Amino acid sequence: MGSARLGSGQWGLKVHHSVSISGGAASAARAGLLVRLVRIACGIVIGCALNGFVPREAAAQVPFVLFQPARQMEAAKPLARDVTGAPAISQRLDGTAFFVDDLGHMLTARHAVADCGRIVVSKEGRSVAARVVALAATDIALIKVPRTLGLAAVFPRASASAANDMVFAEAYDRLKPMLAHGGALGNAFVDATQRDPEHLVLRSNVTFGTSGAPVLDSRGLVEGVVSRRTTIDRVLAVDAAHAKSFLSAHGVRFQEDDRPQMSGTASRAHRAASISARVTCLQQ
Amino acid sequence: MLSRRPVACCCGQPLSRTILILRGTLVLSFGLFILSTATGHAQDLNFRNPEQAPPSWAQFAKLVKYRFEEWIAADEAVANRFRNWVVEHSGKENGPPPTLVVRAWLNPDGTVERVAFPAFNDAGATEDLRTILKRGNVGEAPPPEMLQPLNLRFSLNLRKP
Repeated sequence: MGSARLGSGQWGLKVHHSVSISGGAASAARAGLLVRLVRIACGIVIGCALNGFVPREAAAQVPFVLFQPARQMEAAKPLARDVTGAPAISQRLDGTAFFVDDLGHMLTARHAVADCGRIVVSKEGRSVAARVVALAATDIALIKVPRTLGLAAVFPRASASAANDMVFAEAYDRLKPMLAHGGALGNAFVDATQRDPEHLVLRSNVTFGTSGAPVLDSRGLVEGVVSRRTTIDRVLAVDAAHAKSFLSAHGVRFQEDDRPQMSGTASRAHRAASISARVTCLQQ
Repeated sequence: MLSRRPVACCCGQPLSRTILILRGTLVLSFGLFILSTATGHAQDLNFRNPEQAPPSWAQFAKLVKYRFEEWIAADEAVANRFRNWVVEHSGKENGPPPTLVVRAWLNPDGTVERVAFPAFNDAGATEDLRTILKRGNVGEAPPPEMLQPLNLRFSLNLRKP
C-alpha cells in the first residue's frame, strides 16, 4: 500500500512538471520567477524568525509569519519520543539515559520512565530490562540495569557553566549518524538570559528522544540532564547540583572532578555515546 | 610487575553470562618503562602511573578496560572458546596465570592496533585472546598526548556461577 501511494505521487509530480514545460517558455519563465519570489520571501521571514525578529511589513504580507510566533510560544514539551504503534501494541516512549557508576545505575528524565509497564535499556545492539530505583521531585529519575553497558559519567564538583558556553546534548539514537561524520564538539549553548533556580537553560534545537540525555561541557563533565523544551530553541536541563544531590540521597557513588576528562579537541558526541543509551518505556 | 605503585582504580563488575562469571580487576599505567636491574625498581622513561596521569587518560583507560571485558565476555565462538579454556585449565600447571598484563596500542580512530601479553602454554588460547582484544573499536579516540602503550593488568577470576 505504502509503495503504491508513493508511486502514484511520483507520477503526479512528473505529469505536472511536463505540463509546465509544454506551456511555453514565457509561462515557464513567469512560473519560475514566481517560485523564486515566494522562496526569497519565505527565506527572509524564516531567517528573521530564527533570529528572533520579524519585520512588521513582512509579517503583514507573508502568511507563514503568523505561524512563527505560535511556534515560539508553544507549551513546554517533554523530549521523550512518543512512538505509538497499532492499537494492539503498547505505547512506547523513547528517551536517553546515562551511566553514573559501574554498577549499572543510570540517570534519565523522570517523564521518560514514569508509569511504565516495562523499561528497556538498549545500547550497541543489546537490550536489557531496567527498573526504576527512584523518581525525583524534579524531572530526573534513577534507574538500574543488572550491569553497566558503558562508561560512567563524571560530574563537576562545582558547576562552571557560564553564558554562551558551548555544550553537547543529544538523543542517543541521533549519536550514531553524528559519529559517522566525525562527531561534534558541541551542539548547544548555555543561555544566561533566562534564570531558573534548578535548571540549566540551553539554546538548542534538540528534539524528541533527548529527554534524559547528559549535557556535557567542554571538559566532558555532566552539567545537566535534559528535561524539556520550552520554546523552539530553548531547552531546560536539570542542573548537575540537583542531579548529584538526588544521586547522593539514594546512595549512588558517582564520580566528581573539575579537571577535563577529555582532551580539548576530542568529540563530545563520542563521549556521550560511551556513557549513554536509549531508554524505552513500554506503557500498557 | 608493570606498575610499581599499583592503584586499583577500576574494579570490574561481574560480567554475567550463561556459563561463566568473569571477575576482572584492573591496574593501569601508561607508556613504556624499563626495569633497573640495580635497584629492582621501575625507572620512569616516558611512563606515568595513574596518579601522575591526566584524568582524560584514566577515563580513556577505563573505557578500554570496559571494552576488553565486554569482548572477553561476549557470547560468540572465539570468546566462548577462550573462556572455556581458562576455566578448564585454571590452577593447572599449563593454565593461565593468575594475573594478566596486557599492553595495548590504540589507533587515533579508536581501533586496537596491537596488543602484547605473555604467551600462554596453549598457542591457540594465546591467539584467541589476541583476536578478542583486537576485534573492535573502543568508541573514542585516545587523547592525542597520551603515552602508549596502555598497560592494563587484569586479574581474571573465571568461575562457574
